[in-house]
Amino acid sequence: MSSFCIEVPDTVLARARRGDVRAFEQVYRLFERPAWTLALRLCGNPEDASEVVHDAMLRLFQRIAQFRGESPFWGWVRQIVLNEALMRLRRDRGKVFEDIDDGHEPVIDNAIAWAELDRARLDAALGRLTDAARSVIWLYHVEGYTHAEIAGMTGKSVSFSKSQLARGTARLRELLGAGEVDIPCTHPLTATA
Amino acid sequence: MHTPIDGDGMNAPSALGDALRALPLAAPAHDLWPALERRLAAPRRRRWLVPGALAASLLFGLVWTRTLLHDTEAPALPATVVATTPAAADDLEQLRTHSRELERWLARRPTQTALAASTLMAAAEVEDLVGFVDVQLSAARNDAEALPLWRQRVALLEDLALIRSSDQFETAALAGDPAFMPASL
Repeated sequence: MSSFCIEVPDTVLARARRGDVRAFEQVYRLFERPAWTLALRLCGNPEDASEVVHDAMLRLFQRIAQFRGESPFWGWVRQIVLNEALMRLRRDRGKVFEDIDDGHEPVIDNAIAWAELDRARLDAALGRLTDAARSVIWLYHVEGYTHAEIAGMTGKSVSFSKSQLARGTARLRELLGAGEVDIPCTHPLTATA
Repeated sequence: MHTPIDGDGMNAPSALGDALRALPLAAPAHDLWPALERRLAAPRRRRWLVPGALAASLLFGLVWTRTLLHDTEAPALPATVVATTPAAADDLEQLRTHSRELERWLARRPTQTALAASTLMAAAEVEDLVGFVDVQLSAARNDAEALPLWRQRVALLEDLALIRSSDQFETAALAGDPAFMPASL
């Protein structure tokens, strides 16, 4: 289940719709970590992630009065953050969703015991993937989007999504299996989580 | 949404998913709320408020027709709109005028009317695209570079106008909201 799946009390939403800044802050605090994590996973660096969350939350609060509420509020929040992150990737790294070979021939028969893996190593290995592969892996495995949905978001084909998932997963296996990943001293996650 | 399964028969995809979901949530090193609060307190500016469009006539025709007929189906682009849109005219000044008029029309739309989440997202995406075109326009070196961008801008504003009018019409115009009456144009 997505970490965005948070129930916001109706009273808080009602106050936020009326423009109550304290209610905005409550909403922000509830979604700060899921939003920042998603932005970080897609953009790959904390500076862009912060800007994405800032812009997404601003947009959310500017439009919250118009939210009709027939779909879950958390889904709307996630969609806004996701759109903002994808837009930033396209704008700043125009070819991020081109099917560019990252220069590595992935080793696919390298078995990894994912469940026993050190989290910091996995985290660091994720950071070594291309933006496209990391984004697809995160959206598919963690946020639960289908390949068709990811294709729609990125403006690419279903086969692009599938190939990025396969290539990214193979690259992760390679990085982790070969012990290529060093754990940085001040990784954003271990430093702030 | 999919249910994570062992898609390649090696158990790896779902095991990887479990491992990824087990990673702790991250948080920014600095609290982002104070900056957000300052921005929220500042007067709101449209992200894409640059010169701007003629779909007023388009929208007039659309809204007028729908008001008269109380048509609740998805709006179709009237033939008269296509005919009056200067997109084919390749004229920079015409496009700028068209863009301005569209922006004026959009600025008059009620901002507090409840919209479907999908409509809100669609409108937000188009606004972003308009903003992106504006960034490109600010870097255009001459009219030849600017012309296709102005065409794109007008087309996006027309999309936005249709998105706004189609959803709000359903919820407000039929209830007699004067903002959706032809006189407001």
